[in-house]
Amino acid sequence: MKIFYLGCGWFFAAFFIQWALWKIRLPQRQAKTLLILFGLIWLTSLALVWMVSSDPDHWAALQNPAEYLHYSFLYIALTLAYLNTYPGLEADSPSLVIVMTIHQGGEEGVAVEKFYETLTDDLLVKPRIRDLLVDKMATLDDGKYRLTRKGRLLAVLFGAYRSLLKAPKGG
Amino acid sequence: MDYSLLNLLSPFIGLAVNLAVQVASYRLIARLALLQSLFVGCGAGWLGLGLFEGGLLTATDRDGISFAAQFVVNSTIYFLLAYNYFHFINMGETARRIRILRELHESENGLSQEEILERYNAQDMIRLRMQRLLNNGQIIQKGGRYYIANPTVLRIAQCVTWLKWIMLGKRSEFE
Repeated sequence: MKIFYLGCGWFFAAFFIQWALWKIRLPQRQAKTLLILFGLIWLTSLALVWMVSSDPDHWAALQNPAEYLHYSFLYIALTLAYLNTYPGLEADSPSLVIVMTIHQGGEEGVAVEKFYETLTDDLLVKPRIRDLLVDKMATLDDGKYRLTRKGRLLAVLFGAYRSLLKAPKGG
Repeated sequence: MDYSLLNLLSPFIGLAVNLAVQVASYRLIARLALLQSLFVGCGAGWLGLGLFEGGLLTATDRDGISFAAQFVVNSTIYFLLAYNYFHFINMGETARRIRILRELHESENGLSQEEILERYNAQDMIRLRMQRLLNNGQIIQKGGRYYIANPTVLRIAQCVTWLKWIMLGKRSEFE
């Protein structure tokens, strides 16, 4: 279970460091910053574990390259799970907003018109278009949005998989 | 190949089984919803991981305690990978940014904001999400008004709101 404890321990250390940094200043490109931060902490952890592993009896010592890989797989999988979850914190999910609005309506419920009045393009779509510019997935030239290479890659990837599933566009 | 290296393959073998079973079941079983197919795939993947680990156990002289510890770690990695796969599928199904990317990809000359909104807008989004919530039994409609029926998504929404406040210091991106 040493690998489990090391992987979870270093991940939570990274999480708390990130939380503290976010309290100081919220970065503009949050996903990229998260990736860099968690990557640096992973490399730091490998270096520290390698140092303590000079003593084979140390509780945190790893014995062979396979154990380093195993630890890395766990840490990276945790990091990817967090990175995938994080956008749900950044941007308000329409479904969750709908459910919270209905909840706030209490026993009286909520008329459907209220959602169309409050959940407009300004709230639901335009900020996401701006996100594409911030994350360099699209550019804005002469009033037209066009994909960057990064944006095209993502569009192709998701398009191909949706085709494999024979599923519609989604969104 | 050394056991310790073979052991590392377990989560990825599980993931491969997960993907194959999920895609096949979703395409071949008409009544199976996307979320259900993901659960079917996840279960099949974990079974595949277990069979692979069991095969390694019988083929080597590993002791039971060591095997159990490895199985816990590999299962954790597998379920994290499965969670990541779920999110990948979910992004294709619901993410607004992905939908906008795909609309832009289909347009050779790019799109203005107005053109994007013609193809994908808030009204369509609300209608689709309300239908999903109704189909999943999370909300019900009575007399033209909507009510909470099953609090599962509500609890998720409350947890997300709480996490937003902890991480970002606000409960909504518009605060």
